[in-house]
Amino acid sequence: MDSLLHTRLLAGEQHAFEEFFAELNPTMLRVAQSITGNRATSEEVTQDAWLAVIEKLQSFNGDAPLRHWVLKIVSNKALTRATRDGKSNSLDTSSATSDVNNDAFASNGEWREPPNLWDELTPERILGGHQVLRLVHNAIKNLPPTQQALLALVEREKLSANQCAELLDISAGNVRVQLHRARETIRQMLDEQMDGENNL
Amino acid sequence: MLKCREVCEKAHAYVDGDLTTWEKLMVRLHVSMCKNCTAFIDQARKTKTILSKSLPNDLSTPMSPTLVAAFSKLKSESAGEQTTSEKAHIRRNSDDS
Repeated sequence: MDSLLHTRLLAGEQHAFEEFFAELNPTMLRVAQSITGNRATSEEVTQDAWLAVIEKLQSFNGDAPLRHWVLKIVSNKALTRATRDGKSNSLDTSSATSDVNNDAFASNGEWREPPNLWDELTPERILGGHQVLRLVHNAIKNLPPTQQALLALVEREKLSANQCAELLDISAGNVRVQLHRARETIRQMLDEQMDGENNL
Repeated sequence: MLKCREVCEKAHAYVDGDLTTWEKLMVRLHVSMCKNCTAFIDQARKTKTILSKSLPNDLSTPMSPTLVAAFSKLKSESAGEQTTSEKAHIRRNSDDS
């Protein structure tokens, strides 16, 4: 599939390039924004990365999936730019354990407020319900850039923690902490919606 | 035996299959006896599924004219190469005959 796309791109198929761009550009922007910490810079960096992709397309040898190769290019461009601008990644790397809702537990570590049953809350129902889906999207948009980038890399691109760590120039441990925080934020938001079940 | 709080701290990593065999066993043992933690793991699993299918494409930006031009150049180069190779092919065929 990768080699077919590569061939189509090399043949100059505009439609293939437009599809590839539409699919991958949001993730590239998130990677660049996570590294540079700036939206405008991330757009410049992503544009540069696409130009490099077009220029180097002939030399792509298929060692890695084409999408990962492209993500590596944007990561390298963003890291170079961040170094040039004197930016460093300032992640909050404190332990992930503090992200659990403390109010839900008694001092002995057992439940004080048992979690809601999500029997009625199926992914199909959420994805089919515009209102909740909008809430999920808004909650994602409010996450820090690195958490947004990680959700895109792990959930959409199916990259491992080590691959994400390499792309974002953070440790694999940090990848896990940030990913945990991102998911926990979304889970808590959905659980609050379950409390006011009429919203669903 | 893990406490409920510890199970919740590990829930997302558990759903990802990112725990050691021992940690996984400890979580499974606890969950087999705790309906609240079973509910929490179910929440974590559903959150993951929802996130994998609903990431917003809000950052989509239109392709810039520079990028369109760069790709068009690739297209014309590629067409040029094709024409050259076609000519070579025709030349080879005529030489053969």
